[in-house]
Amino acid sequence: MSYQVYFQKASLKSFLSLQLLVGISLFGLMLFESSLAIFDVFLYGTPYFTFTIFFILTIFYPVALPLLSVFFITILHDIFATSLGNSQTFAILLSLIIIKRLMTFPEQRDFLEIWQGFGIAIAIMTLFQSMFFMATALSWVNVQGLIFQFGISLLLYPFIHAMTLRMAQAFVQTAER
Amino acid sequence: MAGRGGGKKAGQSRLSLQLVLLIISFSLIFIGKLDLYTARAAKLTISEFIAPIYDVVAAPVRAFETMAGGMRTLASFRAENVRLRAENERLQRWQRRAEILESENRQLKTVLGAASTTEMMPVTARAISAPGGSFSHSLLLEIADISNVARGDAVVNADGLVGYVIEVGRKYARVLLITDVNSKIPVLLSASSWPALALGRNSKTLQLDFLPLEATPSLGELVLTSGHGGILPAGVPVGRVIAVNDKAVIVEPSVVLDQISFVSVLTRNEARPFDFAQSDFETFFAPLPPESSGRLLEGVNAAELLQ
Repeated sequence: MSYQVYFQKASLKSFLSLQLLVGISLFGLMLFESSLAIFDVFLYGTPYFTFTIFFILTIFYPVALPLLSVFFITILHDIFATSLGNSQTFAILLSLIIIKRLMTFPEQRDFLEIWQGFGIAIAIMTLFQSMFFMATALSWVNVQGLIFQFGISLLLYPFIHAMTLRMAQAFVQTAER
Repeated sequence: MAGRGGGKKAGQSRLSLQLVLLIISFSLIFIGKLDLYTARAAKLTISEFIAPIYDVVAAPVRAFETMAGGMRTLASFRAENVRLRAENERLQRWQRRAEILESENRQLKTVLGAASTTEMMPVTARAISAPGGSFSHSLLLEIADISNVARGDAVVNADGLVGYVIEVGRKYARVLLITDVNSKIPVLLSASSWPALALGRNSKTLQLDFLPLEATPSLGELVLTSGHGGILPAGVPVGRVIAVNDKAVIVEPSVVLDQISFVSVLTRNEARPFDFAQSDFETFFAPLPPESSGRLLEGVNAAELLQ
C-alpha cells in the first residue's frame, strides 16, 4: 500500500495562487536586473527586463499579472533600490494602464504593432520619470543613460517576447493537464 | 441583460482600482519626499528585509563578474606584474615621504597648539546593492557594528570618497554616492587651494560649482574634500579634473563606483580642542632655534614662550 505512493504522478499544481508565484518570480527578476549594474556597461542603465515582462503579461495574460501585483513589486523595489520618493511605481502603472487601453485585442495585431506599443510604453514611463526628476531635482536628467536603457530594451524585446510567451503557454498547458 | 450589467460593474471596479493604485503611488512619491520619521523607519525595515534576498539573487551576477575580471587579469598577468612592481616602488617612496611629513605636521601642530582634527574611527562595511539607476545613485551597506554609524558619516575606500550615509538601520545603512544629483561636497583644488562645491549629476562625472572666477583649475588636478561644514573629513580625494571649459569644470571620481565591494565608514567623534595636559607634549616638543626663526613664524618663538 505504502509503495503505491512512490508511483503516483507528481502534482504539478502549486497550492499558491498563480498571481503570487508570478509576482514573486518577477520581484526576483527585478532584483536581478538591479544587480546587473555591477557591470561597467550597465552602470546607471540596466535594460528594462522586468518591465518588458510586465508589458507582455499585461497585454496577453492579464489574469496572471493584475495591476495590484505590479504595484506591490515596484513599490518594494522602489523602496529597496532607491527611495520611497521615487516615481518609478507611478510611471510603470501609468504606462501599463495607458498601453492596456491602446492595445486592445493583441492576438489580432501583428508583431510590429506590439513592438511599437512596447516602445510607446517605455517612452511614457521614461518621459514621466524624467519630467518629475527635472521638476523636483532642478537638474537635467542623464539622457545618455536613458537612451541606452530605451535602446537596449527595445532591441531585446523580440527575444523576451518569444521566451515569455512560450513559457506562459507551457505553464498553461501544464496547468490544464 | 444581467451579464451585461455584471460586465459593466466589473469594468467599473477595475477602473476604480486602477485609479486608486495611481493615486496611492502618486501620493507615496510626496510622502517619501517629506522625509517623515515613520516613512523612513518603514523604508528601512523593508530594505532590511529585502537585502538578504537581494544578496542571494545577486550572488551569481557577482560570481560571473569576478570570473570575468579574473580572466581579464589573467590575460594581462605579466604586464600587470611589471606595472605593480613599479607602482610598489613608487608607493614605498611616497610612504617614506608621508611618514616624514606626518611627523613634521604633528610637531608643528603641537608647537602651535592647534585644535586637533575630528577623530574618525573606520568601520568596515560590505556593499550589498549595485549603484544602478538613472534617477538615483545610492548603495546599501551591510555593517556588522553599526552602533557608531550616524547620518552624514563619510564612506571611503582606498581610492577616495564614495559618498556619505543618509539612512541608518539596525544592520544596514544607505549611502548617497558622490555622483547622485543630491550630493554636494565642499572641496578644494589641491594645487591652488581654491574652494568649490562638487555637484553630482547622476552620471559618471561631477561638476564643480561656486568656484571663484579667479580660479584656474588645470587638467588632472586633484580635487580633495575641504572639510568645510564639519561633516566630511578634510583631505579625502574626490576626483581629478578632466575637462575645463567656459561652462563647467568636470571632475572624474577617484573611486570606480561600479566596483565597490568593501568600504570604510568613517564614524565621527565630536571635535575637541587640543588638550595640552593630556598630550605627550614633551615627546613632540621641539623648540625652534631663535636665530633661524623664518618670517612665517616670527613672533611665535617657542623659547620665548617657555620663559
